[in-house]
Amino acid sequence: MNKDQIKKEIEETSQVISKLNDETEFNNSVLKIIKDLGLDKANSGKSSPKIEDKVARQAEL
Amino acid sequence: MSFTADIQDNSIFKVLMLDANIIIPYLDKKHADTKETEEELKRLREIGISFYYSQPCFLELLNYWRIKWLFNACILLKKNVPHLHKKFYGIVSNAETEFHNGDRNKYLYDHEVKQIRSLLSSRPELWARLITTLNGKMASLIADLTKINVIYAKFNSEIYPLTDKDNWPKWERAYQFIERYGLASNDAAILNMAIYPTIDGFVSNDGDMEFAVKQGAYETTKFFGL
Repeated sequence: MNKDQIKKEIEETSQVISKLNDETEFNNSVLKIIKDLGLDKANSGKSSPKIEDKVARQAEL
Repeated sequence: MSFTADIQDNSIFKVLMLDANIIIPYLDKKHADTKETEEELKRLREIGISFYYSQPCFLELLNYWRIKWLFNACILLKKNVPHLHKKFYGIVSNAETEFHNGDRNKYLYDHEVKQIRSLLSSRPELWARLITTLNGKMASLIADLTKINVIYAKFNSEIYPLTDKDNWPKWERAYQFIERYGLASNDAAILNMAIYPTIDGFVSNDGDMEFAVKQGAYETTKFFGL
């Protein structure tokens, strides 16, 4: 492999790894789920701490 | 970690088998060792060395990435969803701090993932919906590795057969690694697949692996690690 080929390969590798680490699309998907389920801060009044306590006790068992 | 000098000085090294603990920081920009690993592998690539990984190594990669994405989702939940149980915030915050400080090499331990799933079960559909965000990510991982020329070592490959069929990996040798050196089963399987004439060396950053090599599990002159 000559120097130009190596340089090209290293550049392509860098691009692939950058894309692999790009979290934008994933984060948007998660944020949409949060919103769809009404769990975001705008809907925080709907929470039920009692249910969370019950679930936490179950998780400890 | 510095293994390139030894390899660069010796022209016999052309094909290296990489452990998961080398590939993970190479791919994950958030890993504490990413910069160092990237520089080391880049130097080796520049002198024409090929990188391979084996099936048990790939299973570790898949699990690391599964947890990485789930952890990302948990971080977003922590920031954007109030009134989840305080234990959830505690687990995620602690993991975030420890990973950032290099005090742990994975985002969440398996028991923490199980605990988080239970803690989120009060919110119908939440966990099931979060899982959907993993869609396609595992399949794309092996494609990305191929694109960057880190190749999955297929023993039946017609392009680059690691060994003839009679010498394909046998479980008995992996059992011996567990019994003689106390290696974890996945480490034993990974080391087992690095012992072939067509593999010039094995690179791992695992202390248990290094111990086993020093005890005779693998040729010390072909092992590069800590």
